[in-house]
Amino acid sequence: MNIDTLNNLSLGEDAIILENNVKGRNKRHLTNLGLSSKNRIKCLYKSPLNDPVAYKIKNVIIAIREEDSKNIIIMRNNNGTN
Amino acid sequence: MGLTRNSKKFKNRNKENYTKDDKNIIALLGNPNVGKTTLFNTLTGLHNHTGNWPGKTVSNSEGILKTSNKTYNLIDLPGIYSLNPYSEEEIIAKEFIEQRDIDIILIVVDATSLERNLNLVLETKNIKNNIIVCLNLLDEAKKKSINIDINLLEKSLGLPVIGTVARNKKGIKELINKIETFEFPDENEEFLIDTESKAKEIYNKVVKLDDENYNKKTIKIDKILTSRVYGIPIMLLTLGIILWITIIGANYPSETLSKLFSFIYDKLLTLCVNMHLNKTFIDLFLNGIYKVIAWVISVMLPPMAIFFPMFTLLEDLGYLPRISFNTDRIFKKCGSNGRQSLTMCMGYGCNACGVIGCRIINTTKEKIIAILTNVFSPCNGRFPSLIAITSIFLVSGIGNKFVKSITSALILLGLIVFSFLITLLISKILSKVISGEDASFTLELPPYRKPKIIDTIIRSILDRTIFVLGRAIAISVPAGIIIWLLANINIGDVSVLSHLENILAPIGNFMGLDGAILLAFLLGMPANEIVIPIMLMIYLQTTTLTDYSSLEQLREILVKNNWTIITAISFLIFTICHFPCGTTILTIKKETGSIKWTILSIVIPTVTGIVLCVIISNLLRLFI
Repeated sequence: MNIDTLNNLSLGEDAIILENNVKGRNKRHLTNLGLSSKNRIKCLYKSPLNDPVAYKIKNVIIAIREEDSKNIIIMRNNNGTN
Repeated sequence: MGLTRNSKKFKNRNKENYTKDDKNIIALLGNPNVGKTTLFNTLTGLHNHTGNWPGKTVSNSEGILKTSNKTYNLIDLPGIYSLNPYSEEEIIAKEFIEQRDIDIILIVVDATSLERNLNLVLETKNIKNNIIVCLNLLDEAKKKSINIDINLLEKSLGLPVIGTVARNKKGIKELINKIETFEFPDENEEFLIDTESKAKEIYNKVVKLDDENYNKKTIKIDKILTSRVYGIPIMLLTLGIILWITIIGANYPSETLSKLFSFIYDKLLTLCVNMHLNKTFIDLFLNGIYKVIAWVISVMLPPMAIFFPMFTLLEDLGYLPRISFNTDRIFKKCGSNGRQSLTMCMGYGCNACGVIGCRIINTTKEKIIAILTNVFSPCNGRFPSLIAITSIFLVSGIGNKFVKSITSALILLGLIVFSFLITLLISKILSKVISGEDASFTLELPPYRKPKIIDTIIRSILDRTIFVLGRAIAISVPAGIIIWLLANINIGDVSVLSHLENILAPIGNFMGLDGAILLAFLLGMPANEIVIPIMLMIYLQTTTLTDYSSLEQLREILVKNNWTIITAISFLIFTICHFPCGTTILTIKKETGSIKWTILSIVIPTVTGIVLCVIISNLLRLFI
């Protein structure tokens, strides 16, 4: 599926953010960190305990918990691997 | 209305004076982790510590910048991502910018993450336009082949931009020059609503990347440090190594200082006797004050002076957020915030700092939990006690010096893991009991930066040593006097000290300790590093000793006072789980503004400690 939630993005995959539907105060915090529509995001690596996951946004590495990433809608970048 | 240089003189100053006098105010603003505090230190010469993880500067700090013709008041604000505030730090910074009478807003920007940083610049420009942009970390940008056209950036922003490498003092002269010659611009720009798009636009214009993936080194390292297999073992190994170096490194200075103090003691005694000083005075001075100070400096200070710089290096490197990243899930299961692992780490340095650091936790409930449990992280002042007792009682029979040191390090690592587990346990219990919302957690993992190793170590050792020495003397003197008084004032025919000891003895024994130990903990509330010295003093009232002041002597005194391995274990547990030190308690009162939480911060760890000691010591008595 091209359109999906962020938590389903696999390691190394690239995507474009469509919607930030995170609940609560963290929505604003994530927006401030660059998580808003049309921005690119890439899934980098996971914590040894599987959560949170580190993503690259605007060339900065941000760790996001699954309870938030499942509320972020993305569209996978199918052209190119980077 | 345009603001000109002349009209500045007639501006209304705030009624509430933030600074003592009317000096020119420069506010330092910027994202977390961009080198604001390094710049602050460079400009003011103050030693305000910088760590490489977002969220470290959590209280406003002030310093003075003296140039050839003016003196400025420099205010270092907490790092914020945006003026649309999310956390307390951001609210502090935003209010400061909006409400105070500032002459220049110096926005520090990270050249390696310019797009995101520009957002803050543009948002600030909407409110005030007396801005100078400091484009910092140019050395890092160069390493990553990031090319920035500074002139074009200036033009695009409509603001002056000075490139710097704050930690090497490059560009500082130009920056100061710009500050001195700064002219208030005319207000002429419209309010920019979509700062993010504009930031992107400017970024694409002025930045040329040779390599799109310039963070790959950091990412490569992270993949190892956070990997399923290696992540957590590496964490434990790193901690273990730091502890081991502390133990080994502290040995030689400790022994040397002990001998030195012994030598001085003899000389002072001879001097006092020759001067025919009052016997009581000699006793008070030499056996009261001098001994406590000697102990603190020779036994407590060396481990502190070694652990702290290494901890600092780890911070500067940027490793601490990775610890948070690795352990977040565990914290989440205990109903708390991953940031609590950061505040816990700060607590290993100093609990008062850890408590202040809890400002980075945004929800009240989780913040309170982090504050109340911070004391379970054994601070710098308690490490030497843990090391000393471990060395004396738990590893004494084992192999040679090398084996002993490794075993000590492992035991200490075990104690830290224990303190970690207790923190989680109590956090979990508190999260069920305290009401409030659970918040989520997002963390920035900054790129690894090579710290200036020698620089940091020397600066840290000096800072730490001076600080501990100062505190040692300030606290040891009254402590020594009080104990001496208690030991020499009699009620009936027994000293007050003995009375107190006897009163505490039943509880002490039940906990696997004794009256003297408990009394030492109580009297040691001002600073944890005097607990063992005080305990020694109490024992020495009834135990004679020919030579003194080294671990061997400590062992002798303890054994003569019926210490066993059970006593040692209970002591270690209680050291980790007891009320916070005086400074921390005051800090907690200040940070929570509540008597209730402050009292709980004293009661909860103490009760935990008592319960654990009772259970463990009595269990062990059945078997040993």
